Amino acid sequence: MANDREVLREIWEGRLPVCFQLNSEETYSLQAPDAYYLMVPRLSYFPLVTDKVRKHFLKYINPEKQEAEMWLDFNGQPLRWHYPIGVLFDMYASDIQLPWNITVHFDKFPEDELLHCPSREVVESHFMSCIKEADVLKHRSQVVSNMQKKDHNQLWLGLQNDKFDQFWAVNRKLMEASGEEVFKYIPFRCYRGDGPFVQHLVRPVTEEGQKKTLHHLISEVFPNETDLHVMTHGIEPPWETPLQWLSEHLSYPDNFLHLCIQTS
Amino acid sequence: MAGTVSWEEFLQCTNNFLEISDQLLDGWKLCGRTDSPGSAYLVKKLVVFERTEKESKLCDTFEEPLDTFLEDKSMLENTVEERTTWEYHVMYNQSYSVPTLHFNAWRSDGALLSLEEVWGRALKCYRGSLEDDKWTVLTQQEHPILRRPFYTLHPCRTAEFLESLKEKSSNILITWL
Repeated sequence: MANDREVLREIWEGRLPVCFQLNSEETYSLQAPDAYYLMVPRLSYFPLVTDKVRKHFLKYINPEKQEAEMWLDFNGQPLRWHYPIGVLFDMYASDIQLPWNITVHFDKFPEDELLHCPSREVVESHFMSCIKEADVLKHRSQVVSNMQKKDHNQLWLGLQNDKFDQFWAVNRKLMEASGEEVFKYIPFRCYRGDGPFVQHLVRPVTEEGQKKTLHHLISEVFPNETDLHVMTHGIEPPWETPLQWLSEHLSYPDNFLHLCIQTS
Repeated sequence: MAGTVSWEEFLQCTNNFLEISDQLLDGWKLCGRTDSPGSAYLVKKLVVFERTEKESKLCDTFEEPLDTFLEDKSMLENTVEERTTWEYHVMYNQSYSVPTLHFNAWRSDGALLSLEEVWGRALKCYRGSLEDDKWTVLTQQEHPILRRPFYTLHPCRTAEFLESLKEKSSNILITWL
């Protein structure tokens, strides 16, 4: 059970300062637009927080492209909108100086790299499918499937509208170990450089019933590697942090731990 | 959990599947590594020719001499032949313990088909019952290994479907596909 409410609150309130600028090649008007500054929640997804960004830049681009899908890049890398904002930041953290400079595009959507996001329903569908997958890993999917549709909606609305209490009223059920002491498997993803993320089946306890720690997880996923640093939510959790606690308190709203791995 | 397949069963089924595919010249191959669960997957590429209705083009052809116009039979036909390339991947999803189907389809100009276009072509038999759940059954997702966008059939539906097949099928992959 996620009992350390203060930790949950701090994580929920994480924000990042972003400076959005229009791709200079797409400026159609005589005058280049001003940059748009915004504090974005680490736990959210870009399509949920950039409506005003779109509105701001739309008037400066080719009038025939007003219906075009907006996409973002950092340092020439298209930003995968389906990763939570905080995960994207931590992935590129070593190259970022605040404010985070992100370029806005409306043209030449990189179809071979980015998923399309024509509406908020697509983000919701993605978010809910992550929640379901986490539930399968933690509880053999018994909790989400026993919830009513209104509970699913409450999770989504809580995230969209930045309502901590609304979100956690439902999420606490997903953070309970339902009859057992611990989750079956810990939902997590490890990101390293440009490769695919790594996701393995890892239990929160050893065969003998001892609590496993972050150190155990990293050793299982990256055996024989030393000098690794694990970052999540902009911090490096201590190696001795128990996995069960980590999963209950430091997961993103999608119920996954997203860990960025760096070598020193 | 009901309707699930282990990694080992998946590998066995893929080996069996490939033998049959090779006999039938069906073109499936195995890619990736078999030593790590979820790292190997079946791939098939396919080019499909379709005839679709063409809008009338009479209005913009009067620059050409009339006899060339009449010689070009395709102008008189109502349909045009479109070439689409399809690529299918069958992967193993470790979280759900089921196989998942990922695919992409491109037009002849290299552009990716949209989700609407895919729904229109691929799933005529399912459209009635699944229309309401459109956004949750078939979505674009990141391919777990290649990291590129692929259309994916949602795994939780697969488990339901597989459960109903398990007793009757010796090779679950073949029956599911």
